[in-house]
Amino acid sequence: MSCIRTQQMMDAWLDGELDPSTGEEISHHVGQCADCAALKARREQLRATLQAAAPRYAAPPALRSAVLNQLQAAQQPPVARPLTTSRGPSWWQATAMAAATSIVTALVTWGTLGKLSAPSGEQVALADQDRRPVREQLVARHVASLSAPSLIEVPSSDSHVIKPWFQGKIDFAPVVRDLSAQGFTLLGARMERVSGQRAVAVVYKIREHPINLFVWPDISGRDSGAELATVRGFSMGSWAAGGLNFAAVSDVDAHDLERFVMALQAPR
Amino acid sequence: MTIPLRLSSIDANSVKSQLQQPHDHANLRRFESTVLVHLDAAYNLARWLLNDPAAAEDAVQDACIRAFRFFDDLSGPSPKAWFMAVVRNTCIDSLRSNKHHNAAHEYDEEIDGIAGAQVHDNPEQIAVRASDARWVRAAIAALPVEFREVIVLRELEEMTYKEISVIVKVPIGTVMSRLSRGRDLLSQQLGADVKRVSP
Ligand SMILES: [Zn+2]
Repeated sequence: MSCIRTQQMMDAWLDGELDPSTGEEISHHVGQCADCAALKARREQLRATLQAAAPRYAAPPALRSAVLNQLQAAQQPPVARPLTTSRGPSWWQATAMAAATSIVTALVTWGTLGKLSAPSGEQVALADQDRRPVREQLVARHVASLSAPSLIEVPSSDSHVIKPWFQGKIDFAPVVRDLSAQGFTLLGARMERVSGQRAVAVVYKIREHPINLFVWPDISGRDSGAELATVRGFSMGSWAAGGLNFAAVSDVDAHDLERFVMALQAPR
Repeated sequence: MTIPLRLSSIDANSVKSQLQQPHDHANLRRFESTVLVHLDAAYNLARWLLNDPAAAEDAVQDACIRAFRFFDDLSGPSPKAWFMAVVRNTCIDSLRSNKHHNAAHEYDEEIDGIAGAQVHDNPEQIAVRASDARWVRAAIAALPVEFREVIVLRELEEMTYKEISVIVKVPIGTVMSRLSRGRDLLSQQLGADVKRVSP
């Protein structure tokens, strides 16, 4: 075990993140090397200083009750009422109103998906589907996907591996393109649902930022050009083509997402 | 270089099936018992990231609303890490949208790492100051946010590298290198003499 390697792994060792045998090697080296022992001593002193002097702030009691009150207000009875009445706010309207007053991030009106976000009679008649506006669902699915292990079900950078994986799972053929030349690495794909419909998410990344490209059948059948939006701080690009809806969601900045959308739409 | 990190395996499916149920009357109770139990951790992170008690309260409140609305989508091994990721995103949004440009700026080795770490005090002053909580707090607050967040999550919240990587959305190796760098910077700020072997 060299000094460089010992010092690179010193923090992981002290934090209990190393496997025991590597820990043994570091411990052995530190016992024989004054420089590395000195680094260990500095780390231990820093930890002691932080534990003595850096407070762990507790949430003020008023914050706790304010949060509970707000959540109780947002909590609406489930789907027991008739879905077709126009009296009183529906669940999704109530949630949207609660959100509008409480969430600082402005929601952007969004043409392409806006047409799907108003619950038509057909949509609300289905009991179990997610009735939030589509753009909200997509952000939620994107956020959820970032918690391993749900991001990718078929890991591959090869579109010829991913495309056959979809067969038998969906009744449409999503576009899976290799965009590595443009800086977007294909990571894989997984099954998804959008508004109760089967969908897929093809996952790319650029500079460690994952991009989820959601694809699902388009009810209207009309093509529409790409629109870019920011929803809850996430960048989104959406369009419809060839009977499919596409929506790319990521925390990359709008410029990178625009490049991604352009690259996907570029003629081969 | 490969780093032989120990990855703790947690049963993701049990948490997921327990939490992924439709909205019902018990939903808020379940949210309280799985997510809101981490309100102190959430506030602590927001307080350190935003350096402002009122802004931290606002951010945590917004994060709770977001988290509740996405509660059905909660998946992954750790509800605490999931919630902390929402809190952290809310804080980063707040840093970006408000005028906290100093705290939100990208880390610059030249400016922040070297110039920022100069200590002019003599050793006795350093010893006195190092025991002073205000001095320690100021040193942490002066860290660029990408180092501050991993230091707070590790030192104060005692979260694992795996959990921190989920919250900060960087690979585990990056968590490790940011912690090392952050601790070096803190030690320098606090007056310790940091000597590292150059590769
Ligand atoms: Zn050594």
